[in-house]
This record gives sequence, structure tokens and C-alpha cells, in this order.
Amino acid sequence: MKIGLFVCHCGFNIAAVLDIEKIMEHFKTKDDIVVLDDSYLCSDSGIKTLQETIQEENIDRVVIAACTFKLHGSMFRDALEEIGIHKDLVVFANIREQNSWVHRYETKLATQKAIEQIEAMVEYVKLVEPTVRAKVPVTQRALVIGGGIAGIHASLSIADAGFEVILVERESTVGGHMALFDKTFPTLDCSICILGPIMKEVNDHPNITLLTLSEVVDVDGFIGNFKVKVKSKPKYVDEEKCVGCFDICADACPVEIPGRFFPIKAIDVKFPQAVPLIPVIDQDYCTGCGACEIACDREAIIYEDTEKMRVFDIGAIIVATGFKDFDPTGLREYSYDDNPDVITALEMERMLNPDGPTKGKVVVPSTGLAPKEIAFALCVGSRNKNINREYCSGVCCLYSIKHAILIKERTPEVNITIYYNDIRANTKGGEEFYNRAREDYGIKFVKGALSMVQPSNKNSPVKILAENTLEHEMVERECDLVVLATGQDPPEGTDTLAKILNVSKDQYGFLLESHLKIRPSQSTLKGVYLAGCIQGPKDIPQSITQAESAAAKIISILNKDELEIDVVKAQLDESKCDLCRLCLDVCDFQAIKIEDKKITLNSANCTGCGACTAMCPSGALYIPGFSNQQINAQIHSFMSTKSQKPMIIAFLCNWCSYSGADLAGTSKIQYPTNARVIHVMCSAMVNPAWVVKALLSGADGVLIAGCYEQDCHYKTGFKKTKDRFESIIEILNELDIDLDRVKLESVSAAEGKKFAEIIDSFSKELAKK
Amino acid sequence: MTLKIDFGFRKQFKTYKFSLNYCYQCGTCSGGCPVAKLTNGDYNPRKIIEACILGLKEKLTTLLEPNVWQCSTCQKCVEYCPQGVELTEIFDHVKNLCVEAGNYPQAYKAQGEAIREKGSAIPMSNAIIKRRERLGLPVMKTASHSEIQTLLRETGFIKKMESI
Repeated sequence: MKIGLFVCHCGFNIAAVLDIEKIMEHFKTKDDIVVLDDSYLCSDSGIKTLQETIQEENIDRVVIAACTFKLHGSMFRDALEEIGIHKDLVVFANIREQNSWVHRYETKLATQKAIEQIEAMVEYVKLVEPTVRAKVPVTQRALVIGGGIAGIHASLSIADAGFEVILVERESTVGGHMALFDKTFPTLDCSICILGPIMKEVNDHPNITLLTLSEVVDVDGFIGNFKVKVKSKPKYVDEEKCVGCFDICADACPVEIPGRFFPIKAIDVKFPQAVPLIPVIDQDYCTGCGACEIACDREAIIYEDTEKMRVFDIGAIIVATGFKDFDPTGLREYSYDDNPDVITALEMERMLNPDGPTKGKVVVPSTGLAPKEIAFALCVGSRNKNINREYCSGVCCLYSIKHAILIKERTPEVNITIYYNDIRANTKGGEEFYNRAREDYGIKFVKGALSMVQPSNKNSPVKILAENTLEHEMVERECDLVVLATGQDPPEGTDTLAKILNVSKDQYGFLLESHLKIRPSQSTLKGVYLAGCIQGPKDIPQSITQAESAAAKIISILNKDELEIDVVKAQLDESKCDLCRLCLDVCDFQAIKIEDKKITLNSANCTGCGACTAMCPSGALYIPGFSNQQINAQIHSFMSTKSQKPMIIAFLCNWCSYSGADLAGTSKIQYPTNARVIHVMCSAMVNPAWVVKALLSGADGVLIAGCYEQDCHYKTGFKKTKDRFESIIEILNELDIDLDRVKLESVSAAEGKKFAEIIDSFSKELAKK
Repeated sequence: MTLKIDFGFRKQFKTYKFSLNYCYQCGTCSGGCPVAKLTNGDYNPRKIIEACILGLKEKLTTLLEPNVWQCSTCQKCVEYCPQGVELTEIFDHVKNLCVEAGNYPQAYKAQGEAIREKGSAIPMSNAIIKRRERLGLPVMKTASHSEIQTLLRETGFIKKMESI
């Protein structure tokens, strides 16, 4: 056995903090280890040197000390597989995200930590037994969730490449928010004119199955082989018979569904350009009077329509569920709740739309008259720490300018003032658009957020307060109409969808990308991609760009007949099993059975969470890469030096907490060097014996961190961890070990800061002992 | 006149964990400030924060531009600030520095004296007691004077009052 250790400088990212020379010195003298450092291992020349050294020196196992394995891990493994090194025999010491970036001012301690991190991986790689890589067939069909502009573009891109697409839309029509707009910024082209044709194309495309009024209710499986259950709500209208004349039934319907800016009937289409053009009955409002049934000469009304459940085999998924307009109801300073003349931007969009409630005329809602003075308040529900929306909405500057221009074009005599913090016209043509608004249209811009909207006693219905901060002037002005430029929130149901799909969310509840820069359209789960505002606020061009990028990634998956997948699944060493049956109950996936007095494993059902292995007292059950021996080797390695006091062993789950620790790195949040991380797939696989072993061999504290219970990648994993943590406490009690030395925490992939705080506070607590 | 930038002054807000750095000068505070409205912008909370960020200690504590003592501590600015800036906490610190510079309204000192001597800023007069009775409000309890004095002594308030 000859181990190759390759240390990356990552330019200054690692080398400016860690003493690379000292690290090299430390390992140079060891037997069977070949060391090499490079300024950028991941570069073309770096990989070449890596491959050449391995071949020249007959290296058969590799430790790469560099960035997190989540970033370039598979790239390195692929490159080394080319020269015959099995993927399992390439392991990584994370000395960037979990070291140099978080211990910037601690060169000495951080270098020592890096040496220990590498040492543990060297000991670990010695014990790795290569697994047989499984290849699975790929179902050549994609699922797109959400039929807004992003979902439509993604579906068309995939369908045009020759693959089948199931497009699931919650509403009765595709089109999303864009279909509600009159014009788009900065070009002022008609929204529905550019969207309408592709909405129709989606409906007519031979490769696309469009399911409206439908939602994804369950997703099972993995990349290439998802099983997706879709629930379609009843429409009460026969799609085959209905010809889409919709005014006959809607005119006959006596029930109007209230809604200030979206008035429709109990049987109606959402808007006249709806696709498919089929009216549906809203069960919440329909009185069952039968008027539409009599009116419809096609006999298309079916009152006894029922819900449908369908299951699809899917290769890859795109989530394009868009956003929800921020609801300013709770913000008292804007008086949105009690003043009809304070409206949101989306309501303004509807007013400007020729198909909207006022047929394109801008009016003061309370009087129905044309307004003389309009104020726009920007940054409502964005750039606001108080309501947990620190982010910029990215669109509210430009759409407000668009609104102002459209109003000016129709009624030039109206006075429009836009109250802003900063104008962020950051899109192609945006700044020119802003200048045009000022120069050609005479729209006033006041730098100063709108502080308050007050009802006024005089003829004008509302009064606004602000400061013109550039001219140091207090503003108190009467307006007939105030438009709140609301930001974007995650759409309703995102929490549930994230759970169904097993993907992570960011701190605001949008779905989290796998890497902000190099994998912006991939979610945290392989085979699931993100397009449009579900990943964070976006404008139309950005949504389309991401949709096409997600589609391109999916096409590359669907193009393959089979995929090699990471098989992390439980294995059984029969010779050790003494049939205690403890594993049977803990498995929630029917993966363990007992037949003929023998434990048998159903690999297809096994999710690889490892909860069973932590229950196994004899060590017969194990997950390759995470066996007792392999984990103990790491613990032993860390404790053999024990360079710091207090010393914390941290077991971090693969999906949330390890990524959270990596995020602390990418965000450069500094924390003490006291923790040594052991990567596990799920916190539920942490065997109490490992915890005891760590504590008895000298660790001052043990941290187990996993997902939040409801977000667990293995659905029930963290719950099991919580239960098991109680037994750990009992064991420690019996051993007379201080219970404050162990800690169980939930750290999501978006909580880098929380991870840093936990390490900081835990090491402070332990230091007091 | 030229104004000096006092870096130490700026740093003080950091050590007090005040949220000064989050301010992006949107003017939500000043636009909604009742005192700013009455003084036609002479008093302006945004400008105090701006001066703090810029480290213009002299401007605030010697020249009183704007005059931080005009703040009525109604907390409206704190409530509306989108960035969670603790404006009135920051103003308290500025006020303390003003006191050190000997720049404070006599009324404030008189009030401090009243607390020291009588245990409350506004002593209970017969008129107040009668009015409370008329309005059906419960009898006001007064705190023990000696206890208050102990507190004032232990917190260094009395020493401060004597030194200014």
C-alpha cells in the first residue's frame, strides 16, 4: 500500500493561512506516503501532475487536502479513475472551508489542525475497501414543477431535445406571474405577446404532458429513477368536450369570487389568455345552482368529477415554482390593510393590464377617478432585517419605473414620485431605462424611503411622510394613490415541497442551490434542479437563463442510458450477526427482513441512512466507508495527538450540517480551532459506541449535528438521532461522565453562522470545566 | 471650520454592540420623526447616525448639529428602521459624551438633581394626586428614597452629577 498525499495551496486561500511547508515536512518522513503540493490542484496542470505522480510512484490510495469534497470531489475522483484508481480510494481532508477560511488569524493552531485532519484521512484511507459501483438505468423523462416563465422555458428546452416532459402546474393555467403583467421592463414589450405563444406551444408540444390544477404529493427514488406521485384536483369540466368559449358558462354563473384586482366567477378561466383554455369550477364558491350546466351546449360540465392520482417514472426534476408577492398587511407604517388607495405593485400590474379589472385605466380605488399624484414606495418587504428579508428583491426598482412610465404614457398630466433607497437598475438596459424615466417622462425620484402613509382629512385621501435625504428636506405630501413595490417571498407550499423532494432551503425559505457560483441551478439533491425565483428573487431574463441552464443539465442526464450512482447502502457481515433483531424495528424503509433465521437486506429499499448500523451491537451491519473500524480510526487519530484543549469531535451529517460547516467557510465566519469533524451520512448512524470511544480516549466534548427533524434527508433520521441521544445520555450517566460534554444540534445547510456559534460556545463551555 | 474624524468615537459604537454599521441612510427614521417634522428637519435622527458613522464626534457633542437632546425617545425610528439600527441606544451614548463635554440642557441636570434629592423626576404634587383620583386611577406608589439613593451611588450617578 502506497498513499499519495496531495496538498493544495488554492492560491492564497489556503497557503496564506496554513504553513504548507510545515505540513509537508510532517508527512515527508512517514513510510509509504508520497507528498506533493501544488498551487492549484484542480487546474488542468494540477490534475496532470497528480496523475503523473500517482503513476510514477505506483501510488494506490490518495488523500487530497484541499477544498470541501462537495466542491471538486467528483472531479478529482473521475480524473483518478481514468488512471485506474478506484473512486472510494480517493479521500479528502477539508482544509479550506473547514480550516483556512474559518481560522484566518490562527496560523499555528490551524496548521496543527490541518495536520490532524490529514492524518485522520491517511488512517482512514488505509481501511477503505472499494465497493462495486452500481449502474442504474435512466428513465428518459423529466418532471417540471411549476408552469411560469421558468417552467415553460425549461419544459420546452427539454422537450425540443427529444425527451418527454411532465409539466405540473398548481393553477388552472400556465403562465405564472408573467401572464398577469401588461408590459415588461426594460424594453416595454407586451408580456402576454411574448409569453402567449410559448404557453400554447407547451400545451401543444407532442413531448409535453401538461397537468394543470395538479400538485406533486410524493417523490421517491434517486437520480435517474424517481417515482413521482401527482395529484390532480377535479376541474368539473370535461376537457375533451369543452371548446374554451368560457364566457357562456361564466356569464351564466351568478357567483362572483371576491378579489379586489382579480375578480372572476365561480366557473371561469383565470384570465382570457389561459392555457389550457378550459374554465374550472371553484368548489369553495360554487353553489351548485346548475346554471352553467344549462348554459353549456357542449355538455362539458361534470359535477361529479373527482380527484386523480397518477404515478410517473422520472429521470430528473426541475423545480420552477416561482415566488409569492410579499404581503404588506402586517407592516402598519404603510396602512395597506385599512386604506384602499394603498395598493401593491401586483395590483398596479392588474390595473395597467388591458384585461384587468379597470381595463387598463389607472384609477384611485376609493373614488374610481383618475389620480393626480402617485407615490411609489420601494423596498417594501425587502432589504429589511426586521422582517427577515435582508435580500434585495432585484426587481422592484425596475418594475416601479416601468409602472411610472406606463402611467405617464397614458396620462401625462399625473405627478409621479418614486421614493427609493438606492436605484438598482442592474440588468441589461436597466440604467438607460431609469434615465429615460427621468429625462423623457419627468418622473421624480426622491432618495429617501417612504416612512409612513397616513390617512389625511382633506380632499386627497392619503398623506405620505419621508425625507428627501439628498436635499435635506422633510417631505409631507398628499397623494391619491400609493403603490408599494413589494418584494418576492418563497411561494406557498415550499416547505412541504422541500420535504417531499428532500432538498434544502436557504435562510429565507427559498430552495438552496448546490453551489452559488458553479452549480447555481442544481439543488442540494442530485437529479433535482432549480429554475427561476424559487432559488431566490429574479427578473424574467434571469429566470429564463436559469431555466435553460437547468434544462441543459437535465438533458445531459437523460441522454445517458445508465448512470453510475454512489451506493451508500447497508451491508451485512453474516458471521458476526447474532440475530438480536434490534435492527428490524429501527428501519423505516422495509429494507431489513428476517427469513429462515437469517437477516436479509433489501438493497432497493435501503436509503443508506445507517440508523440500523448504530443499533447493531455486534457490528455485523455496516455502511461501507462508515464502519466502526473506519470511524474509530479517525477518532483514534485525532486523539493520539490531542493538540488542543478543549477538543471537540463533531459528527456532521452529509446533507445539512456538513454543508452548514462548509457555508461558514465560504462566508468566512471565524470560529475556534477546537473541533475535529467526522463526516457521516446521517446523524442517525452515529453509534453510541463512537461517542463513548471519543470521550474515553480524551475528547472533551462530542457534538452530533444533523438536519432539522422535519427536513431530514432520510425523513425520520434526525428523530432517531434524538431518541438515540437519550440512550447516549443514559450510558454516560452510568459511566459517570459529565453530560454537558455531549451536544445534539440541528444545523441546516444554510446555517453557517449557527455552526460557527455552536463551536464557539461549546468550546467556551468546555473550557470552563 | 474643519471637522476632525475621531476613529475612537466610531469604534465605541462597535464595542457597545450597537447596530450602527447596518444603516444605509434610507431616511425612514427622519421621515417619520415627529421632532424632525416640528423643527423642519433641524433635528434629524438620520444625520446623527450619519455623523456617528463618519466619526464626527465634535459635530455631535460640541456643536450639537443636530442637537441629540431634542430626541423625545418615542422610539418610532427604532420601530420603523428596516435595518434594525438601535437609534435611541446610540443617541444615549452620544448624550453621555455630550455630558462629558459639558454640553447639556440645564433642565436635564435639574431633573437628575430632583431624582437624587426626592427619588423621582416629577414629584407627586397635590394637583396630580387629585387629578388621578378624578380619573379613577390607582394611587401611585413611590419607591423608597434611600433605595434609589443607594442605586444612584452604586451606579456612579451621584459622582457624575457632582463632576459636571
